[in-house]
Amino acid sequence: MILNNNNLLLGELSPGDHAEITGFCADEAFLSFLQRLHEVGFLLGEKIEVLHEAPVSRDPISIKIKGATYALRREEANLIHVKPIS
Amino acid sequence: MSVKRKIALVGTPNAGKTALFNHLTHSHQRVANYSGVTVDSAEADLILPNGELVSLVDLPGAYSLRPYTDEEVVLAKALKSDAFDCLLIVVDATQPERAIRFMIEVLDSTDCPAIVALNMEDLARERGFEIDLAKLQSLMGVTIVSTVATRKHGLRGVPEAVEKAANGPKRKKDQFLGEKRQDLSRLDVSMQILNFYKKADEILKQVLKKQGRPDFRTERIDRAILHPVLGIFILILVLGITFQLMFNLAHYPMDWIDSAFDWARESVKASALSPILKSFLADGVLAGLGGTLVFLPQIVILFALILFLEDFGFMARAVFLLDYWMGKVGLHGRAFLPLLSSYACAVPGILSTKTIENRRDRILTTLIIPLTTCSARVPVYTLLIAAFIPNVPVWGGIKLQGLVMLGLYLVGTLSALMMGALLKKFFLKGKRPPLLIELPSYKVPSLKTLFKGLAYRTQLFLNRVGTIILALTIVIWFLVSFPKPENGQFSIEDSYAARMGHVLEPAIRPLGFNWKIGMALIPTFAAREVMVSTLSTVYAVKEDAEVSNTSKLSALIKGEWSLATGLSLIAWFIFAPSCISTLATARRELKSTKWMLVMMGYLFGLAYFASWLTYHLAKHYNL
Repeated sequence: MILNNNNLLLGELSPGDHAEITGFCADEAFLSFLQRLHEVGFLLGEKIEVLHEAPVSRDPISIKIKGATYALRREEANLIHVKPIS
Repeated sequence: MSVKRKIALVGTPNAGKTALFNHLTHSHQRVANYSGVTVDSAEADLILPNGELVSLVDLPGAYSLRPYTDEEVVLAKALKSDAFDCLLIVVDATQPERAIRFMIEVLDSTDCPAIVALNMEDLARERGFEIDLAKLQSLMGVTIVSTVATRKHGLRGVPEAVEKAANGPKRKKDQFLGEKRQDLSRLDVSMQILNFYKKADEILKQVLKKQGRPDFRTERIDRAILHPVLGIFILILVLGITFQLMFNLAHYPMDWIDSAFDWARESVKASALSPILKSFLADGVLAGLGGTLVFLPQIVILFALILFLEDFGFMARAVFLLDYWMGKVGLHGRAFLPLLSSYACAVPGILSTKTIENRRDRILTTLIIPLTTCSARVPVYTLLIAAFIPNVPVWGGIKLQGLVMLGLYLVGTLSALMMGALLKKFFLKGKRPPLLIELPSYKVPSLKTLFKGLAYRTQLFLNRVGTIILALTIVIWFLVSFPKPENGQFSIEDSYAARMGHVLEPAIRPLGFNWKIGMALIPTFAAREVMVSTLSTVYAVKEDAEVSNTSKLSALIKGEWSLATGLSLIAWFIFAPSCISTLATARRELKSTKWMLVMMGYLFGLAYFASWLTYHLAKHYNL
């Protein structure tokens, strides 16, 4: 993890990390999936916490957001830009 | 003539919608703690306090009204259709923000009268949430009832509220966010979602008197179940125990069923009925029913465990743990549950592929489901193993027969995974669709819900036994027992079935099968397990002796077939396309005759090749 860059992708975080959502990938191809992410609560400014990663593969990860927990693959979590908070 | 009015049950996944349905009505519909279990919209009667009988329709759960999955398409269409007189919206009180967001989205979409069940009120209270219900009611403009759907008395007030709303006036559409344009660009849609959340937040601020604590219990359990090392161990343990119970626990009731049918057959044979009627009842009806009913215990046990694990919340975690590895063979994590169910029976397995959002992945999963070892194969394997595999000790207490049975399960599973990888690589190409699955709060599974789910499964199975399998058994009995010669001794070699077996023989001789096997294979396309009863019938009629149980039958076929033939037949049953219900279900679910034919074709090809190879290898090594 790059220390002096406070803009990361969600898929780059590890269990225990807290972050705030700062943006989304603008690729048209992912729009409908992004909308689904919005619907379950992944919105701008929202605070998230990475809870777990699957054993061995370390992928997917589970993310706590708005009081619920969702599993996402790291690849797709990378559609979300985040700023780590401590 | 008065038409029964319809009430739609609408809710987010995991909000307890189906539990509510189960407790309000008396239908067989299962509920589970796993997104997307309501596969078809079920309908059942609900009696309102004034005595009116209305129909409650359980629509698929959805996160929103913007269709993303097949199920949400169903919901969006249903809500637009104007077919309902009242909506019963079910939301989760432990997630108030999402609950309000969903409510306003549904209420904005239609002018249909509605009430809201704020469900899991007990859990919300336990975690310290305090919501001003009266305030929320006045802000939303509909009646809101706090409910605990898993308890008997947790739903008081719902029928009454439904009655009042259904007889009340229509509401106004678009009360919260104003009229929405239909021609939204994709970016506007994202804005709209944000606006719904903003509005929900605004309302929440006015009604939430106290924010609840996080769900510490779920977090604690997850620390074990999703632990990097412990997690794998627990998953293997759970699957191991599941299969152990399925075989060891089922063993006893299976023996009882077996002896009950033996006794019934003996009684019929000893009775004073005419010989033809005796033969019809004992060798036709009873043999056929007994041979199938005997594995009802296995199906019941596996489904009881699956339902329990789903309801508890473990299945979503299994998807989380296995998604990466299933991806290695091109499968989506969500394919886990359908594949596991298929070890009991492929039909419910295929039905549960509905939770897979992407059509290509759904086809892929459906195509490989018939390769998993469903319980209908077990009696056939048992018979063939008993006949051809010596039960010598291999190591410690482990014997060769048990090991071969385990091996057959492994071969089935591995071939399913390999076939998945192949199909994905060459025919159903494309990136795996994204994974987004909620890991719901753990819940204590409710016994009532479990029993209802089980009763439903059992009923499906018994219907099949009572119709297709019974009918087939009778047809087969007829084919092996007729035509009766006018004079002289009847011999099975002259029967209709024998003639059919002879016709088939040239095609199956390369596999080492004789005409009797060919004859017994014909009905297996309808149901595999009928193989055993057909052979029983064939040999019972031929030897004119008591061949009522597997051990006698296996001794008979052992004397008549070579080992190569036996092994070849085992190979055939690993792959052969059956049963007819599986193929019909695949066709209906995929809405495609083409894919059903592909399924049948590739399975048939695999079976033929595997049998041929096994037979010739066995011959080569002089087995």
